[in-house]
Amino acid sequence: MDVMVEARGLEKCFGRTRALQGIDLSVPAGSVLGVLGPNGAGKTTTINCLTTLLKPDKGYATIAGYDVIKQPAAVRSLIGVTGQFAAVDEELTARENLVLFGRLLRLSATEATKRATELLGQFELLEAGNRRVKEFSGGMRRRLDLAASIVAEPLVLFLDEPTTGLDPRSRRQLWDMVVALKERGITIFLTTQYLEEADELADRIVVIDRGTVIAEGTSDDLKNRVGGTFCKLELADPKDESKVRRALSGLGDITGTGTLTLAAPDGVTTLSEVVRRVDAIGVTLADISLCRPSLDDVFFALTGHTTGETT
Amino acid sequence: MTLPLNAAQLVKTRQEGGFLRTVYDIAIVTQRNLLLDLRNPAVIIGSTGFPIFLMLIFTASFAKVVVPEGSYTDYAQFLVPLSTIQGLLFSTINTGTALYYDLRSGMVSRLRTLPIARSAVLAGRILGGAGRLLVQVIFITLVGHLIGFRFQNGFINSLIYLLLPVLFTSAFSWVAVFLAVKAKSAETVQAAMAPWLLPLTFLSIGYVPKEGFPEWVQGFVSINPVSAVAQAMRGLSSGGPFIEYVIQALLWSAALTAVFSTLAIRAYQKRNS
Repeated sequence: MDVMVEARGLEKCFGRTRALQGIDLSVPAGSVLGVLGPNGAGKTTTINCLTTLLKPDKGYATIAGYDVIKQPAAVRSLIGVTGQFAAVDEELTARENLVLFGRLLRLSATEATKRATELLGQFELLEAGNRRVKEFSGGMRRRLDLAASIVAEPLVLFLDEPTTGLDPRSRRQLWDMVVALKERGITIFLTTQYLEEADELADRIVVIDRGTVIAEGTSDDLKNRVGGTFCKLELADPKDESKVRRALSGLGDITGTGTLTLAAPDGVTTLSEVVRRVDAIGVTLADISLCRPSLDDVFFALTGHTTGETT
Repeated sequence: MTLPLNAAQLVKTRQEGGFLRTVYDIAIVTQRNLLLDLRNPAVIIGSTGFPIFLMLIFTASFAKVVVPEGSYTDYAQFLVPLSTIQGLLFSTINTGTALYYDLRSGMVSRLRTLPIARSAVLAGRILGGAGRLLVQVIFITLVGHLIGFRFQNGFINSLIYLLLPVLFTSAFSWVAVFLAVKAKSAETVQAAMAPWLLPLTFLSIGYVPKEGFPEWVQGFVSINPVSAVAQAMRGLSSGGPFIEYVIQALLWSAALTAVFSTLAIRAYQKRNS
């Protein structure tokens, strides 16, 4: 499989702050890499280095084999970038914004208009196309922003926290559009603070914290690192807890109070064994489920802090 | 549209560079900046209205003091050139704040990730500004006409009259661009411009002849480039010597551009995003 994006040992300091302390990653062509990390972890700095906005102090990176430091002009002809803030002109209409970028990418006036219409349709903005962007909702703005970054279809699309601040419905809508772009074969480099987002969109996930990669793998790999599936049971009456603990002895460590959890290495087999034993002692359960750890659990296990904390 | 997978092909067709492409890129960015100014009438009206307002107030209040034996028309002939250059200089604040907002909104970053000429952002800003200045010169001159200002020195000189302040102010815009690139907030741009604009516009041979200033500022008044531009414009419109002043104004423009474009471009390239 061809490597589309590669970074080796990227370092970048801003004064005394070491924003990147040796980032290594690679993205196979046609796949989606999710870069997950809290605020200040170095996600945007990594994107800025890969998109030629910033020169790394050390290390190197390539896009489709072109060196971002030595061949920045070539790199820029291959990438599309959607930054953290929807960078579109508020006083222009959605269509005018797209035509402007089309013209900058050397389409003729007619071609640029045609391409703008095509993109407005694709991003469900056709009706709003002739309205000024300042009247747009956050979700519409983000969609326009995304459309603007693929006016000239890129080989690699960089999305820096594309859904930050969006309501769940707009977020879902944007996800669908990202999936559609992936299906066209565009390689996508996505940063996010939302574990759910990485889980939903990314083929592989890189977790970064304080400027270094602390874990890498598929969503499943990462979850397995924290421990596999576990079984969670909620008692109808908390007073039955000790009885249940006794009945389940020998199945593994049980943690929690009220809601009890235990490792379920055999999945459904473990679950049915639990149900059978609890049933045998005549205790009623309010709920029982098999759970996989969320990426939040993963992040906490890897870093000792949650995604919300910046320290 | 199917995805073109050949990276080398894409690089070949899309990559920036070359003289014609650079000119084209700058032209498109300039066009965008002009369009945005036109969409935001507050910019044009505000920065044109202010000098027009001053011009009218000054005519009403000072005409009899400065040209005691003359008419309002004589004073207008004297005042309009200075009001014009003054108005244009003040509107460089708009050039600065507009660039500041582009830097902050991420628009500049977006433009910098496109395969377009590296110079397009700043050059487009200066040229877009120049387009707006030209519109303003025409506006102010028309209002001047209403209070009695007339071109008395032929078509070519009138044309130079209109273009000279645009050229000088565009050169001065590099100061605004430099300050915008360095600025931490939009207000800083405005505040940082004031110490440049106030002495330049008011301590010049404009509202009052040089002899009207106290002796200790007369030195500054006579080397002030705005004095040169105002006197050149007076000569071009009303007759009298102007070649010397036109040359002075051009030299100042070249010097301002050389110094501040270097500073601005350096600061721009050093930015961390």
